[in-house]
Amino acid sequence: MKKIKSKYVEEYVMRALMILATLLVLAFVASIIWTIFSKGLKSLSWDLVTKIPGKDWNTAEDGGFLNAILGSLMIVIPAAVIGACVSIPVVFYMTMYKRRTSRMSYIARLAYDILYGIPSIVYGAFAFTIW
Amino acid sequence: MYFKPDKPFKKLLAVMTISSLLPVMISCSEEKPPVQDEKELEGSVSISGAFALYPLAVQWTNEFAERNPLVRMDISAGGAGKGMTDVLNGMVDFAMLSRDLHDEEREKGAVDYIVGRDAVLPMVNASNPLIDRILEKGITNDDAYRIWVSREYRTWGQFLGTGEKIPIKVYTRSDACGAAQTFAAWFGSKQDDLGGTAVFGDPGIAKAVSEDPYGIGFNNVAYAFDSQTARPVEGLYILPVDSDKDGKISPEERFYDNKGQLVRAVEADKYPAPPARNLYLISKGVPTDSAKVAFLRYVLGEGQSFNEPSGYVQVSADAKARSLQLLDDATGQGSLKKNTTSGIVTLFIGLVALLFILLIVPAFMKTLTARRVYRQKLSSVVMFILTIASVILVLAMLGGLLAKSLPILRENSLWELLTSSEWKPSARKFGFAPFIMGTIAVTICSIAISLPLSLLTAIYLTEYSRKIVQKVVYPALDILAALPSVIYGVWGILTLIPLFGYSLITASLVLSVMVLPIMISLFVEIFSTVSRDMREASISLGALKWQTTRKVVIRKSLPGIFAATVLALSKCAGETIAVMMVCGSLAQMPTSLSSSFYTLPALIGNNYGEMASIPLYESAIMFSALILMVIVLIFNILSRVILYRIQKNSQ
Repeated sequence: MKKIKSKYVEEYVMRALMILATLLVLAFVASIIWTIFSKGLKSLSWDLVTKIPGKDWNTAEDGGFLNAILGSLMIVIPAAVIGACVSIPVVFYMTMYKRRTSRMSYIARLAYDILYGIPSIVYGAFAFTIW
Repeated sequence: MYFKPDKPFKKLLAVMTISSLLPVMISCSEEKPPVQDEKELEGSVSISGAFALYPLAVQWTNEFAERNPLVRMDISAGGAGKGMTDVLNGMVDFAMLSRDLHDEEREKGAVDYIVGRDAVLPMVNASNPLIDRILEKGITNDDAYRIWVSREYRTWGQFLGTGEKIPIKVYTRSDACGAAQTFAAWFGSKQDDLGGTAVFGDPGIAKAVSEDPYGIGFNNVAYAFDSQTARPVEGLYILPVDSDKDGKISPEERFYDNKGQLVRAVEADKYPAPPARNLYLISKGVPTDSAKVAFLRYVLGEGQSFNEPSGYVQVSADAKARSLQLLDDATGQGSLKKNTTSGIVTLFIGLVALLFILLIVPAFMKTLTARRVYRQKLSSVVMFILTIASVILVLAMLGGLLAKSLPILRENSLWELLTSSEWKPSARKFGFAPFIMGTIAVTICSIAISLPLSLLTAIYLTEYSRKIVQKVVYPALDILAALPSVIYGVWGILTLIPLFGYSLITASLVLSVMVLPIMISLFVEIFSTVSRDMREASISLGALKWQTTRKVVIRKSLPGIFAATVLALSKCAGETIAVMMVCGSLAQMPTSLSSSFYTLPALIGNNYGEMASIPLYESAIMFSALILMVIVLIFNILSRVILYRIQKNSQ
């Protein structure tokens, strides 16, 4: 009798904990979104995204950060294009020529997964070594 | 047996060629015309470096650009060390420097021109409860030493010589900068010696002190005063300097009411130097390019009229004459600016041309079969090379980082580097233990928070929840996963810093939220590989859902849980910007959850700018990248191999 009871208690406790955990995760998402929007929205204006910084941008409201937006795009687009140029042939090769289980494709897949896992700062440092 | 889809390959190769040509076309179109007209000034001048000089330099560049519309001006602020590295690497023409040039930098060809003078000012929060007495007492260099270096003054009571137990919250700069070095020089120290919470940039330190009622920091004149009103920035008071050390601020030591008053005091040497200092423009070798020379002449001449209104002292006649003499001596010896990108562009064009030739070849072949065979072989060779390249890249990174860290390994033993906790780069003392321990501590803490959370959520989602819950939670997780890490850092600063300060717990929370989506989605995937039959068998024996989960699902997926956790560990260990923003950047062993700390990635992120100026520093940074890479590599290989095995078994 006691055994049965304890297993029901456990069931309820765990279920409550799970719901709590899920709610907490949702709360984190909500908190991040709320923080960014509540603090950011009021200073968002059309000027901000369509103008480059003016003379006194760092001490007063003068101009926007169009330069940063364009800069991001100019980095992202070539990077994505070059990345696609390399990755699409590799995917073709690995799926069509070699079977997934072959040693070569195993190692290549491992290498790409590892490259994905290497912190971005290490890539940055690596760029300094090429110089 | 030929490989059939010839057409898609053709298309693919065409797309590849076109898309690889694109960047070349873009970079070609951006090349500046090298020809210089004698009449109308052309060319470009790029400047980066100290925040201290930035507001003034912006005015110079704006005015200069108006007069010479064909000259392209680029200016950015990133700290003195960053500017130095940029100019020595040839990435910019001038560095703004807010400290004196080091001998090593002079040896590398750096030439300095004094372009102004300002001061670093100690600042306190305006709502400090003892503010009146603090302002009346003022600060001497001995006081500053006891606050920032020896840490003898822990409370404002000790500072005033009375009993109040109000703690002093000390702030300093995390980036290598002139302000901190000049300020430290005031009491015979170096930036490395300064204790306290370290924050990035002049605006950063002003914000940190203005938000902490017990805070004390230091800042440049340009950031200590409001640019509109010329009065001290709201929320901050400038802590007067007690030059004669009589324990109180006499009327002649009071000149902090507005910017003009202070500038005149600096000019008249009433404010001690350091922390008053010269500001420099630095070039690598004396420039001979007409646009650069003209800019420098303008700055030393008419540009000086901007100095006083912006809060800077004008250059003395001697210094100006010396700089102009340098310029005059150098003109006549022509030299060309090295275009560092041309090599890469040539290589790229060569590669594209090679690809093009390889693609053209089949047109000269006679039979269709020969063409097909050729294309087939070509594409398989190209793809083979690209696939192998990934392995080579990993090895090249290890090799490159190792080669760059050899100098420091030659001077210190590996064991010493890894276990010593003394980090004083300017004294050639490199102990990585605080950084390694900081990285490990924050990784373990964040996993300790996120592992139970994500396990419970994943179990709830796979075993318990209804469809509707999944429909809410999965998009939410997708949002989390898609956010760049800097957003997590901003969230940490805005939401968590006010609660916990720059501390281990803040960074752990930020990181744990960041890895949640990865962990949950991996767990969900792993749990779904456990077969349904097993669950049903367990339930048919009278087990409840949780018992089934615990004894069947979790037990079956233990290797997967382990692998996913290790993957999250490596993600945490390598995170840079989010941690950098909230860690406090203090090179000390993390002792408690509320203490500031430092991690390996944050070390690299904060200091890569100073690499060129201190010997062995570059090597030290590269070594920390190597340590980080080795740690992450081990974690990754371990977890990936396990995950592959699980995927293989489930198929």
